[in-house]
Amino acid sequence: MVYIDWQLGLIANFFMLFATLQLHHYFLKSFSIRYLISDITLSLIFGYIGLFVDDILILLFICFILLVNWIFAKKHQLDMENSNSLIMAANVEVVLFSLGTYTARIIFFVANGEWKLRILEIYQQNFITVSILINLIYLAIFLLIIHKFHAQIVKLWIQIEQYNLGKRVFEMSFSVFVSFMIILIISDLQSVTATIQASTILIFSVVLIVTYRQLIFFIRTMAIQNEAKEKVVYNKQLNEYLTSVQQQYTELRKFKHDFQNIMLAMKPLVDDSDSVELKDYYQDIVQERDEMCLVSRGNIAQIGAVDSDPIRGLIIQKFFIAKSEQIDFHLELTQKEYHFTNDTLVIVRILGILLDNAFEYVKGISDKEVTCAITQTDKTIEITVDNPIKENLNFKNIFKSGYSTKQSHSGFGLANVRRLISETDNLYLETKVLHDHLMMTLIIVGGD
Amino acid sequence: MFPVFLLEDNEIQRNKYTEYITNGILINDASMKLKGSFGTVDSFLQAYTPQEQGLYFLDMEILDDKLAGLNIAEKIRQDTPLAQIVFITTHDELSLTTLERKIAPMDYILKDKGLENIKQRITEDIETAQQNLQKYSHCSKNLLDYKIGGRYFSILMDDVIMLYTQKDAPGRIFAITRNQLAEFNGSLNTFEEEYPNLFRCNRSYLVNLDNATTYDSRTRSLDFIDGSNCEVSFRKNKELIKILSRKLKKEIH
Repeated sequence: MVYIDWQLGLIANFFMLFATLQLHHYFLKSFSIRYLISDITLSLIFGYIGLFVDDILILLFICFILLVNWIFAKKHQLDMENSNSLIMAANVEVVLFSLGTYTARIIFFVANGEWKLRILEIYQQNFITVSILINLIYLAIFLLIIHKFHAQIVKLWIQIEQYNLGKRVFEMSFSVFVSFMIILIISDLQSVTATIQASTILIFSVVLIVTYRQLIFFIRTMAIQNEAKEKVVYNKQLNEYLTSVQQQYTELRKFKHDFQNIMLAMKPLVDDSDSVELKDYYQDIVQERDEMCLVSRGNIAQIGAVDSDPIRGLIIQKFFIAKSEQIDFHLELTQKEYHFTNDTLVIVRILGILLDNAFEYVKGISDKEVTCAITQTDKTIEITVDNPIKENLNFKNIFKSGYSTKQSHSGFGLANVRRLISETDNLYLETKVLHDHLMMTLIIVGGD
Repeated sequence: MFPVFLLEDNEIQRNKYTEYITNGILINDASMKLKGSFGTVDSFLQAYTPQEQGLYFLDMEILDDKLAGLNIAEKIRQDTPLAQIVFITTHDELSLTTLERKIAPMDYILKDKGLENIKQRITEDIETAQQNLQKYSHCSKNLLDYKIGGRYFSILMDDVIMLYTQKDAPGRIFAITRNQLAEFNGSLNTFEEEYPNLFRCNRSYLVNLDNATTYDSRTRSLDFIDGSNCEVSFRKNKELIKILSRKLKKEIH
């Protein structure tokens, strides 16, 4: 053992505790004069206690702070973010401090050419200063690394909070911390040689890094799992919403159909009648009927019939884009169910390009109407994107890279569609112009 | 006699349309006959036997079945690829794009526009059907058929401009017609054998000379009505000149 003056011991202890608390504040980004004063007082008091208890000091210190936090917390609930950050700071600082001390030892041994502890006692004043300096350098390096990953760490904190993982993280890091302390205390009691202690600490540091890495991985996994769960709930809600909209829509449409037929049937009676009043009244109703026509076409609620999440998602997304750009986007889904099996990702990409092209084109003309129709017969699905078209197309050129009906547009879309289709053997594209409408149909032939 | 059918669930309307159709046949002096007017799907199907030809006026929504008309039209189309189908329907019952894909009807008549308009459209449709009938009968092999997955497709031969293959899509045939570009699996050799009216002008092109506009025998470049062109192989040059001059003579006579 090395015997060191109590003043020097106090400085070393004070430094270690103070650095821990500063690191803790750095993690939480909460610095203030009040904290600084209380930090200094606490560190001094525990630094002094540390002279009698050696390495168990940090454990006492941390437990004391946690205890105080627990006593003063509302409903005696520990603030997990606060505690986690404190334990993490303690873990890091203890490791860095120990590494600093051992580095300083090696430097002194090498400088003197002798591997004897006595040297440290002789040069103890310089030794403590140097080890604190090295500790500072290590801290700076650590902070630099942390700073580089700042964004990810913040995200991690948010995830921990969002998914209530604080308690698990606390348990994990606290047990790591306690086991480290036990190693230190036992090696002190057993007067283990410095070499063994150094290697234990090195191994422990490695374990610490691995543990935290594992922790990060664990949190990410939990986050993904939770997101998936949330998505299921969200989809369920969306589906319920779509179903109810669909029901209302069906009722409305039924009423409209009856109404129109009644009106049509009444026409001959009104024509035969002599009453001018009746005729005027009939005319009024007919005019209102035109407004009713706007009610119903292309209802997004029908999208629930598509069983593929990515495809349904794409269409809903495009529906809202169309709405924001004042494009009339109709969906024609006449069947109750559409079943997509494979290639959904390729289909999503192709359909995305076709819809984008249609939107892009109708933006430049007055008739802003795009229709997407899906039909399924047996194992063959056809998705048609339909938009009005003003000019003649040269079918052979439209799939060449760079072709576009607009001069400003880059026009790589359709060439990409062609390429995507060539990569598979069950997709076919049909391009048709009919009654001044361009209809692009993707035909998907299902498996065996 | 070319049969005509009507399906409409509303009795008053059905009687009106029946009247318009009989009048329309008389006005156009068409060789057609109204074979039946039906109010329900069941009565229609009972009377229905696949015909070689036919003109069908269908309401889309029959009683509460929103898609009754569409289902019947699909059946008719399957049995008779060249059947003339006209939908008489209210505006919101239409899914135009779906209809176009599945049925490719000759016309849609909108009920919303009033009886006068319906009467006029029915008369016009009878006239068009009469004309189409003559057009279809002039060519023996008048449809180009192909299959994608389980579905059969047909293109009117008069509309076909060319079939070609591309190096980056082996096994695929692309067909350009007057108004569409289609693709399907197959080999040009099979189509060349099956449709002798098409001319193989090089290894990867099979063209319909009826839709060719000009041929320059020096550059061996053949142009078509839609502005596209293709190169004729050296070996086929003479043969093509022979066919074209024969065609020219025929047209002069």
